[in-house]
Amino acid sequence: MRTGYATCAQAHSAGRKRRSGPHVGSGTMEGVVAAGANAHADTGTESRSRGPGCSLRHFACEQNLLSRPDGSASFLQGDTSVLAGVYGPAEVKVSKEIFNKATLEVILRPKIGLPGVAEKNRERMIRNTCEAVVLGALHPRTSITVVLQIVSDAGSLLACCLNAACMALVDAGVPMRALFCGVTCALDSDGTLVLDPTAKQEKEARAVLTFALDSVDRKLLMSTTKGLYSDAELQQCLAAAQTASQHVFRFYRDSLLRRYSKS
Amino acid sequence: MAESVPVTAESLAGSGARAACTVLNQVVLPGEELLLPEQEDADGAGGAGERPLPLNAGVCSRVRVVCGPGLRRSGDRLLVTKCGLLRHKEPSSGSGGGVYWVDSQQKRYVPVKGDHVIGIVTAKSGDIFKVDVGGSEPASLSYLAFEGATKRNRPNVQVGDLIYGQFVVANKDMEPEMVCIDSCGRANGMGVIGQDGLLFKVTLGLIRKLLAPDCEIIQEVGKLYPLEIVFGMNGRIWVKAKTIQQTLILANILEASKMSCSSSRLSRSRMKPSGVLAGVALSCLSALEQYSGQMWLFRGRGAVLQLWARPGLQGRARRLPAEGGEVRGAVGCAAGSLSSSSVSGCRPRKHVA
Repeated sequence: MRTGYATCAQAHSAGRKRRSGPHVGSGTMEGVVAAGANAHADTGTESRSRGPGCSLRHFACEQNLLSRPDGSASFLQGDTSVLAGVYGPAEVKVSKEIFNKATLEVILRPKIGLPGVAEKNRERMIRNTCEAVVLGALHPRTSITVVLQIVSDAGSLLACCLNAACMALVDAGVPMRALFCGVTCALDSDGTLVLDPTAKQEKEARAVLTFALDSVDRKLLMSTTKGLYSDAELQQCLAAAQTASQHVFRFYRDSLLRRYSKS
Repeated sequence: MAESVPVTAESLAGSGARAACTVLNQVVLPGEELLLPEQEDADGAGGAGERPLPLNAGVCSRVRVVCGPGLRRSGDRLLVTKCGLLRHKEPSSGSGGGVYWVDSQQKRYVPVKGDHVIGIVTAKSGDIFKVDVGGSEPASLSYLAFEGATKRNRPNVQVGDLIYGQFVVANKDMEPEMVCIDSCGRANGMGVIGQDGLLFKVTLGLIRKLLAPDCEIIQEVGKLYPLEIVFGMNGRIWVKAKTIQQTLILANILEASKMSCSSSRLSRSRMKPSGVLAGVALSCLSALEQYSGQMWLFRGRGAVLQLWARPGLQGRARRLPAEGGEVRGAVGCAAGSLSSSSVSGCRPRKHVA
């Protein structure tokens, strides 16, 4: 299932293969989004195949594609792709049992090799974000495990992980206070703001900021930053991320509408 | 600049409460707020949205609203916690109020008091059995909770047996407890499920769909073979027919019925629901009875694929044009030498029958 509600035609979506696997009851959606109201409009010099202004990359989501986990989702942002599976509310080890709420666990698996410090750091951030929205008190002494498998990393990985985790949690029917999404911003050396940067843009950027935002009042749930930026720039990035989050949440809604209209 | 981002007025997830009656049978997302009919009036007037105090008792403006699964109350607000379709049931007496709940497609079972489930005995310890019901912890089942069981006359329950029972204790803080007798001490169909048969798992939504009083699938399946079938609210189905082959056919039909179109979609199309199911079932039957060993599940875009295999024929694919270009599920059986080229355009998914 593909729906494009594009405000601007994106050239780079042409090279993408359609990924509609032979899955039972799965829903895939793709959308192209331009979130460019408040960002700098001076990206015309760049050779990127994005539209004018700052835009998010093409994204796609497929839910309920794995049979074993209670909920699963794969989320694509440009060429970044993450597969998420959620188990829960399931049995919990006695050592990890919390008497008044669910134990939330996030496991992040890199594409190759063993998880290192960077993955553990990301796991922690994703877990803290999930804990803020999951109503763990409804399932005390249980465990909710989110397993994230990085399929390909082409920038904005943490944001993609957050989005995949959210969609998988929704699919598993875990009670949540709100939905959440991740948005990454990169600041160039000349102060240009790039939303949802690619790996190359992230490398060249002066600062990379990732925010997790909730859907109810678009408040900040988590932020992580790397590099040098000013106070004003942080506010600017946050505002841009909030605008972008609207598009992500609308994408969530469309994708879930699509899924439930099928059954 | 930072504050120049207006949250658009469109009803995104969570932004702005919607009246519950306007989103009935529509998708709701976690974090959304719902307004009940009398709250709408209060909100419209004062904005504070306070409920009328019960001081002016007897003025009967209070209606009883029950929050079902997927909804929670926070103060005087009704919030959605799960994604799914919002459902409403009017109370039997009077108007207004009633039960609201969210119908979600989840796989994990959470024990609910009164639910009938199928469990697997995992351990015997003293006078209780531990029963795996698919929840977060095993349920306990006393050996006295069987019909006719006494201290001296123990029921014959072994580890690994299937139990059909009912929850008498199920809450989030306590270990769930099952019984196999009703309040009169009668088994009423509950107890150890006999030998043979096949147990398989489906989603919780499918179980609810199959157990609905007006479910056509079950009525149709019942016409095919004499069968014994048990549905557990925990997503488990146990089925037994005369032969293993028939059992497998029935299991495959039931598993595949999650892909079958909802009745509303069928009624829009030319086919009658019973016709489709009968077609599905018949094709399964004849193909399997002839010989196949493999069952194929097809999903097609813009077409419903049906495979017919009669004893004389080897297997023939038929594509039915579908209106609207929607994906619709259909089940077929590959019998004999059905080549993959004859079903090109669809990806077969092999089911080991």
